[in-house]
Amino acid sequence: MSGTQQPRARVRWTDTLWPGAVIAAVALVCWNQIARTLGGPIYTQIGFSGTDANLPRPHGGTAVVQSLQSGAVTVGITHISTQLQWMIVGATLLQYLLLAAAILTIQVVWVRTSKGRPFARSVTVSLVALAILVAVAGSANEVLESLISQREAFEAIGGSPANDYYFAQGFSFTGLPLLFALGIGLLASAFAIGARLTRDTDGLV
Amino acid sequence: MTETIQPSRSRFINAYTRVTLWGFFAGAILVGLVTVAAGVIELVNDLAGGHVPLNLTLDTPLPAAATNCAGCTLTGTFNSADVVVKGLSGQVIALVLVGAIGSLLVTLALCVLVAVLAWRLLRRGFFRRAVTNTVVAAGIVLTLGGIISKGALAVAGVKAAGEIDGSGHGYWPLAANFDPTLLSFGLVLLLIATAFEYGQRLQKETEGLV
Repeated sequence: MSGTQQPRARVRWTDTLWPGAVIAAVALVCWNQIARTLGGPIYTQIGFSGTDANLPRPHGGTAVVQSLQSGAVTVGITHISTQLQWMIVGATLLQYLLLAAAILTIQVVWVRTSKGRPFARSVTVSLVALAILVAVAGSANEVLESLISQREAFEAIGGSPANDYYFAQGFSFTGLPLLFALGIGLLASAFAIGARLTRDTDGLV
Repeated sequence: MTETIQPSRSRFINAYTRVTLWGFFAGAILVGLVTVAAGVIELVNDLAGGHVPLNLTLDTPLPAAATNCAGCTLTGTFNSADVVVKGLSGQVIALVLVGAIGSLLVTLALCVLVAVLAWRLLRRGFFRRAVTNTVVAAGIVLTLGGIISKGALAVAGVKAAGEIDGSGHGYWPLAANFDPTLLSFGLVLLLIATAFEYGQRLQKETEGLV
C-alpha cells in the first residue's frame, strides 16, 4: 500500500505565474469593457412587441413565417445618467470577478489533479470559496442586471412609452446563482470526502 | 500521527446537509422527468402540425415610429425574433430535431449527474465506479451535445433563413450564434472525473487497510 503515500506536490514557478497571467488578462478585458461603457453609447436589448409594430415578414422562398411571437431589439443609447454608468461598471466588475474566480478554481483543480493530489486542501477551499462567491456575487449581479435593464428602458423610452413598440421588463430574480452555488457545494463535499480519505490512508501507512 | 480513522459516514453531513441533498436528489429527478416529457410533447406537437419554432437573427432598422418619442435617444435595430415557420424542408426539420434532442439529452445528463452525486453523498463510500462513470458520461454528453445541438440549431436557423428569403432580399440574414458554455462545462466535468478516479482508488485502498 505504499503507493497511497504520495510525495507532497512541489509548486513550480509556472503554477504561480499562470494565475497571475489569468488575473492580468481578465483585468485588462474588464477595464476595456468599462472604458467602452463610459466612453460611448451603450447597446442593450429592450423587449419589443413585434405584433404591435407590424414587423414585416417578407418572404420569397418556399417557407413562410406564420407567426412572430416576440422580438428582441438591440438599441444604442447615448447620454445615459452617471448613476446608470456606475451600475453598469459594478455589474461588469462582478461578472469579471466571477469569471476570474471560476478560471482560478479550475486551474487549482487542474494543477493538483495533474500532480496526483486532487484532494489537496486548496482544492476544497477553492471550491467552497467559489460557491460562496457565486451565491453572493452571482445573486448581486443578477439583481443589478435586472435593475440596469429597467433603468436603461426608463432612460431610453421614458417612464411611460410614447409608443406601443416596447414593453418594460419588470424586476426578476431567478435564483439560479444560488442553485449553481449549491451544485458547486456538492462538488466541494465530494472533494472534502476525498481529502479525508487521503488523510486516512496517509495516517494508516 | 494524531490522525484517526474517521467513520466512513462523513461527520459534516449533518441534518441540514442531508435535507439539502435529498432536495437535490428529488429536484433533479423531477426536473429531468418534467423537462423530457414536456420537450418530447412539444416537439411532437410542433412537428406533427408542420410548424417549426425557431429563433432567427434579424438585422433590420427600427421603423421610424419606433424611435419617434419625446426624449428618445434610440438608434436601434431588430436583433432577433422567435418565429414559427411553416413549409420548411425535411433537412431543416431534421436539424431542428437533432438540436432539440441534443438539448433534451444535455438536460437529462445534468439531472442524472446531480441526482447521482446527491445520492452517493447520502450513502456510505462516495467514490464508486458508478459516480466516476456518470461524471464522464455527463461530461461527454455536455461536450458533444453542446456542440451538436447548438451547431444543428445554428445551421437550421441559417438554412431556414435561406428558405424563407428565397432569392434573397436580406431581411433574414444568414447568421447564427454559437455559445460555447456547455462545451466548457463538459470539459470541466471530464477534469473532475479524473479527480474522482483518484478518489475511487483511494477508497479501495482505505477499505483494504481497515
